[in-house]
Amino acid sequence: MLNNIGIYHYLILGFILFLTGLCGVVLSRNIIKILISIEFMLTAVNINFTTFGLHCKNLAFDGYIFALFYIAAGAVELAIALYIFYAMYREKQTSNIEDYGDV
Amino acid sequence: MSEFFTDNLIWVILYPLWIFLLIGTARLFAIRMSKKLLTLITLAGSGLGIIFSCGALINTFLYGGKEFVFTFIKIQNFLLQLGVNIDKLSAVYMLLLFTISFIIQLYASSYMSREPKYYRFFGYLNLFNFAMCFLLTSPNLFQIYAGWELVGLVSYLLIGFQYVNPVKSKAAVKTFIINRIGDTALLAGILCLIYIMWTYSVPGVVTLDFSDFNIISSIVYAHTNNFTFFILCLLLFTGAMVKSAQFPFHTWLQDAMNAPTPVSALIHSATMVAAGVFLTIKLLPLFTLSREILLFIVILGMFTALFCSLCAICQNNVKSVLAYSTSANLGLMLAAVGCGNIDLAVIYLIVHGFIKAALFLSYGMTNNEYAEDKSITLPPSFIIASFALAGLAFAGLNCKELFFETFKQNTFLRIEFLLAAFMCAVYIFRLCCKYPLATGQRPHIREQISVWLLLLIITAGTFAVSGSQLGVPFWTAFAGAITAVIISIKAKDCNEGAVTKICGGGFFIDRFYTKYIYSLYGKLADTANMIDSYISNNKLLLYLSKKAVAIAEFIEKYIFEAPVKLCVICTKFASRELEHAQTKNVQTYIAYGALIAGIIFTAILLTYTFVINNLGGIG
Repeated sequence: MLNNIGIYHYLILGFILFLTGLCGVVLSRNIIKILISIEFMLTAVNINFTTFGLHCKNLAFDGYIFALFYIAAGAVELAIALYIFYAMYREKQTSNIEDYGDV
Repeated sequence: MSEFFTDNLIWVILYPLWIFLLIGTARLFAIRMSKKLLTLITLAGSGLGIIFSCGALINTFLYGGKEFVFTFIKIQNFLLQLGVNIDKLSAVYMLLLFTISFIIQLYASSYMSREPKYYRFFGYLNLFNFAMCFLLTSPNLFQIYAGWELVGLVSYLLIGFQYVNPVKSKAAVKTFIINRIGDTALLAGILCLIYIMWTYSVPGVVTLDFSDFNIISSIVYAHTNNFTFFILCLLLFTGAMVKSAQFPFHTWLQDAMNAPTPVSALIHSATMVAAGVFLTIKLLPLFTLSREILLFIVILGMFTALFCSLCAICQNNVKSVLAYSTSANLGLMLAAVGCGNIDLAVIYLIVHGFIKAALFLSYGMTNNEYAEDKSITLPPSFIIASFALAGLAFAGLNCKELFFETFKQNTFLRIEFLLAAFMCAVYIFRLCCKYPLATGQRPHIREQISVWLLLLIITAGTFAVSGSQLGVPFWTAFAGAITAVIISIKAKDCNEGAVTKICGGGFFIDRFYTKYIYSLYGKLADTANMIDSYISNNKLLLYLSKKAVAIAEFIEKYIFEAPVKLCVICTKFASRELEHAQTKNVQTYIAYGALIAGIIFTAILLTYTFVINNLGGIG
């Protein structure tokens, strides 16, 4: 079963994850949900990187290294975003994105 | 190196055209070009022209002429060719053109500095340089005709340069219309030549090239009778006659004096009007075959010389006198051509061009049109140049002597020439005595430089032209000058008396044109109008035209307007519906962006796949 998993399975998984993230960004009102959706999209991209790193023979370790960078960057981004949201929440006393229009 | 100048002359000819187009394009897009830069590039064109035409002249003397030709239109065995043909005549003429152009552009850069349409003026000057070169270097009659029209156009544009003034714009139109008579005659002559060549030249190609004009003229002479040949030559000569402002058509030159003074100097006295002499010289192989046409040329030239000199004596306006004098001197040149002395005609063309330019420029130096002071004064350089024009000194004297030599076969011609020389001295010195000498005015340095350059050239011409002895013409001119002084002491202003009225009015030829020919044209228009109204009042025609209008309206409404209306409705509907797409919400816009990016990526992917699958084998 596991042997049959090829490059397309990974790519389709990434695609589904990306679409889910996109839908979450577009449709949700809660700011934390949007942040989670953005992380979904980043993860989808990361999956693509590792997939190509695994399957393309001329890439060596480039895909994995990029994925590692991405995780580091994602962690930093998350920390900053959470701090900004915290500050905004203290200002507005709400987590609904529609009330943040005038920031 | 030996043929460097003749080979590259074409770039010098095209350069003014490029400058003209550059200025036109810049003005179209409202790009401001500094006046200094504009003047510099224009002067550079003329300066290069002087150098190259000088080199080309030396080359033609050493190695003979040169011709580059390419075919423009080809219909069976009829060839319409364009090209550059450089021989001695065109090289000399181009040297004259570029030298006078250079000096006058230098002059105009200060004379016209108060003119708001400065750019346009310099653009036209460049266009004129190109048009004149196009005419002078033409290898055949067609290109001459094209250049002929071009210089006529530039002349029209520059006479009507201050078109807000109705007098000037009307004068421009009148000049253009009178010139059209000559152009039409020239075109008719060319068409007759083509017809005869097309019919009778057995295997040959119809090109009307100047290099085989001897053959052309003999073929034309062989297949026409005397009278037809005379008429054909007369048609061609009428073109030259009108451009050179000869007797019945000389009135346009008076109206041409409405142009700014540098233009009068460049176009209406030195270069463009002499194009008629140029054409006559070019067509001389044809004219020599008919004794009558040569006689006609001589008589007409001499008559114009006498007639216009007589008119000039009683003029009070300086520019009018100079214009009449130009007609008279061009008449002398044509008479010299008719006598077969081409060299003298060309020499006098050059000398007269420089003298006239010097007279006009020195007149303009103290009487600027843009100055507030309208009192007329003449600078010393005007008097020096008038000595040359009268034939009392410098190159003018030598030319008058040569004329006297040329007319030696015929005593009658000699007497007429002496009369013309006498009157020439009278009218020019009458002007000098009439108006006070300019004192205390300091003209701009560039104007002074250009006038003194011209005077220098005239003085140098004394040594270039042979035959300077104090013969009969000198004493005639001397007598004329003394007469002028006596006249001006006796009667300061000649506005009274029947003779002065008739002469001063140019024998009322202009008034005759306005009164009779113009009204005749009006009557013709009235008749046409009558016929028109008679036809349009016809019942059946009216009914039919109404029906036709109804049909046209129907077609317009349902066939031509319907798609337009449909487009309008669609656009209105779409815009009303798409209005709702603007939500002021970032998330919606993200969705749109994702959608559009998705569509684009899909399209790229599909195209790529299609190319790989279907067209992969081609590359």
